[in-house]
Amino acid sequence: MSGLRWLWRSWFSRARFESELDEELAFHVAARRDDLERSGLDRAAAERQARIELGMRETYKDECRQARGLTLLESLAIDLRQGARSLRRDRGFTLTALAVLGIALAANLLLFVFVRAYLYGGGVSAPRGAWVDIVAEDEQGRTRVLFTEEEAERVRAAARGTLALSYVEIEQRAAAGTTGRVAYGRWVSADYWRAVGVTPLAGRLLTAEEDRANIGPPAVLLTRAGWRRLFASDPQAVGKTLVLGGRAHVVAGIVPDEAKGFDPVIPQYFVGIGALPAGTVDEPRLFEIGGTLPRPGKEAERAVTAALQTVVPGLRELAAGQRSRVRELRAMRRRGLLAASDASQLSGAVLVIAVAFGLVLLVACANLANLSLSRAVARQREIAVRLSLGAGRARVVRQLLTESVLVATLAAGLGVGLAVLAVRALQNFVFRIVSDAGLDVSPIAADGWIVVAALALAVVAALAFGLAPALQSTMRELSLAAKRDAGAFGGRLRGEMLRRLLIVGQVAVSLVLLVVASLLVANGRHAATLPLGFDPERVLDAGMTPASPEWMRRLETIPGVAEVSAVSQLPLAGDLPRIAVRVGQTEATSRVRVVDERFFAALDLPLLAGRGFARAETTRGARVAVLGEASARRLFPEGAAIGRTFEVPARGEEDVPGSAAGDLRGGRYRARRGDRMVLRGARREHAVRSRGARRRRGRSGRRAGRAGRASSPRRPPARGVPRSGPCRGLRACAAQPLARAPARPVRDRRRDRRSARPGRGADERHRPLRRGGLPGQPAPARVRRARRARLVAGAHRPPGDGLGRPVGRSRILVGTPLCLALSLFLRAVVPALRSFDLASYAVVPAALAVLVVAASAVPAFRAARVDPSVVLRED
Amino acid sequence: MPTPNLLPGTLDVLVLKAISLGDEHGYGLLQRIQRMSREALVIEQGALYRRSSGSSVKA
Repeated sequence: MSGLRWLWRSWFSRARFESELDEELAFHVAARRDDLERSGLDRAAAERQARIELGMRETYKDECRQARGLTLLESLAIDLRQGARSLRRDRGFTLTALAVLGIALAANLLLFVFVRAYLYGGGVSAPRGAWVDIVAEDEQGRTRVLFTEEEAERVRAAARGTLALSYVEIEQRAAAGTTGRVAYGRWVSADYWRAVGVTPLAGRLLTAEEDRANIGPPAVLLTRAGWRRLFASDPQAVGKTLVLGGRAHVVAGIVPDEAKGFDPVIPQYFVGIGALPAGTVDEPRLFEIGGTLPRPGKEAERAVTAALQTVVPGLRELAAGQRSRVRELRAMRRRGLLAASDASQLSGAVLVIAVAFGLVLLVACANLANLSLSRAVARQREIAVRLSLGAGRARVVRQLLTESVLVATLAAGLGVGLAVLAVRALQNFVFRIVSDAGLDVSPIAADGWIVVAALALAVVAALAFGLAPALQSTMRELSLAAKRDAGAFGGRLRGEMLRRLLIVGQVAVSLVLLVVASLLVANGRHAATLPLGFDPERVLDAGMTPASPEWMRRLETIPGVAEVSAVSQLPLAGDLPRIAVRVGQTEATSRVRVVDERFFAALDLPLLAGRGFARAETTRGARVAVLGEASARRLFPEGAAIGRTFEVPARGEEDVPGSAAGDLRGGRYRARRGDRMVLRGARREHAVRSRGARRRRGRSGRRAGRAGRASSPRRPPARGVPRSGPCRGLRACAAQPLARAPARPVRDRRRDRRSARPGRGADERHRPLRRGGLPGQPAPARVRRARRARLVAGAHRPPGDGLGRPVGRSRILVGTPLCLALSLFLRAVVPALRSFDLASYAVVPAALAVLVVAASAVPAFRAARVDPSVVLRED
Repeated sequence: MPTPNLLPGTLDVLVLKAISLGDEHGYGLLQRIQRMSREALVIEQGALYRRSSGSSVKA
């Protein structure tokens, strides 16, 4: 750092340095001359003698300049000037390079901005202090962020003084005003305002009194977004009435949107928790707890975590008799819009996108490297002249690299510009479901780090596309070749091989990216036609925690419901947990789903062999299993799985009474009672569609639901909510308190509240199973796809060089493994439903081939127009 | 001719020592070193401005 400062000072005090150097040398000569004069020489002879004794002044000056690092800067400036001249001269190359690299860098920078905002909070408005979420970990190592009222009170009491706590209800939806507009709001305690550190724009904040049950219309605070949407920015909004869920609220104030804290969606209103309807035994109120630390740093986090441990025994007492008991409470630092647990779920998807974008950048670099090599051929004489004039190879390489860095830096500037312009548009596109629902997404923006990232990527890209051509074009053979037959048309260089390799790599990677992208799109399109073994339109999902026989009986009485089954996890609802199984000496893992005896009947799932579960087996927890087709083949390759046993090391031996169709991921179904139900008989028109519900299940589902808010926010329930049929029955069913657990009086608004809460009631949580997503594929399809990939990789034809010559066998041999390796990698990280798609494997390569031919046609025609006699004469 | 009994870097040390006694021009430093060594060390005129000055001191 001090070296840089020194260099900076030297450069900017250059004139002073030069004059001082001149003055010093002049003084030296004068002083020596005077001494010599005093010793008896005449003035002219003394002057001459002094100059001779001193020696070459210009050389000394150069050495002094070098010692101060000025020569390096000078040569850099010269290189930059020369690079700029060269780029200006070759505009075609410059514009192509800027476009190609600028777009590739912009894509990577966009990803950078999103990752920074959602994981690290860069470029988002967030509370000023160090925000922490309180997370509970149970004995099984599962974490949760929601606490019951009693738990939250105890945690709050323990952390008082150390942490400003707030209750934050997950989410509220209600009809605002008389317009029936859907609004999104949160219930917060009074200390929430201290934690987020906002001051009201108008009116007041909510007070501690409003944390307790209040009389009369409760107060509501509007955010700026809510004020705009619900009151059309009415300046007289404070004091007016807002009807939420059928209950009148008085607008007490307006707060800035920053009051959202780290919420990825901007709430439109805040209500004090005192206005919350009372919870019931079946449906307790659940709260998030979070707040800002008194000071940032690990020390403060540890202090809060230590303070929280004092309440753990109390929480365990509260949870006595339940399966999940708190083992530890932690204060986890929140940096981005997503909590750490949600962020880790997204990391896989982010990695895939990052790899794809990285490949795009790699293709761009390969493209530019190829162009640079072609330019090097054209600049052969210029480079040879420089070498022969005495410039070292390193000097020429440095000059060529400076040119590459210049191009990459300009492209980085373009990329930053594009990324900054596109961030908002892309965010709106990605979260368009939120916008469609009339909600506002927390805006993200590029901050200063984008420039740092862009420059870093630019330098890497410059080295990637500039180093090899620079080294190649300054090889000794080049100068020899230039001396031997300088300017000879068609002089072959080693660079040609490198160019061919680059073309092959570029086309191969492009092909893989295009094919995979096309396959993903095709899979998304065709997901709805995948044979599942059951009709998803006739199946509804209703979440109950825990599922009880009473609920089951009640659901069965709903008109239109043919069958009810309890299941640990629904088909098409994400990955199933894996367990280790052993058959004889063979060990394997298998996915397991816990179901009751009516599962196969509820899904109308045919059994290929054997039988399903008997009621007695499910109630007594008998050790029997039904294997999926693929699992049966895998575990018992010799066939005849029925009646055989396999061992679950943690459980003991299990019998196999039947084998189900292999469409459901080849899973294994075990007879036990789960906590979810599947209802058969509902039709699509009765369904509530698309609420990101696939992510929510059971206890852990609540956490996932929070992630769902960011990635696939829910649609307003008003749209498409059925008024009759099983859904209505479900709602009525859920509205009745259980006989065994008589609940406190339920207010009307409770329904709306429940509807928004994942995993807590039947009301609007029932929905048809959806086919969206890419939940795996059967093994034969993978094999088929691999074969296809191999075929396509082998069949692809990289373009010829600039003269459109046919492609040699070696290029295919180089391209094929690359294609295969990349396609294998991508296939491993992106499981797809369909492995073959005509458009992906035929049209895309054909289109790419046409593009390649078209791209090489122009230079080929230009080369063909060269008059041979002119060239020969020049030679 | 290089002086065999002087180690490389001797001039650097001498110059540093001489300049530590007070600011002075290059020529003055040479004079100071000669005076301090009672004319035992003679330094070439341009030696101060060169990068490699190992053979510039004559004993």
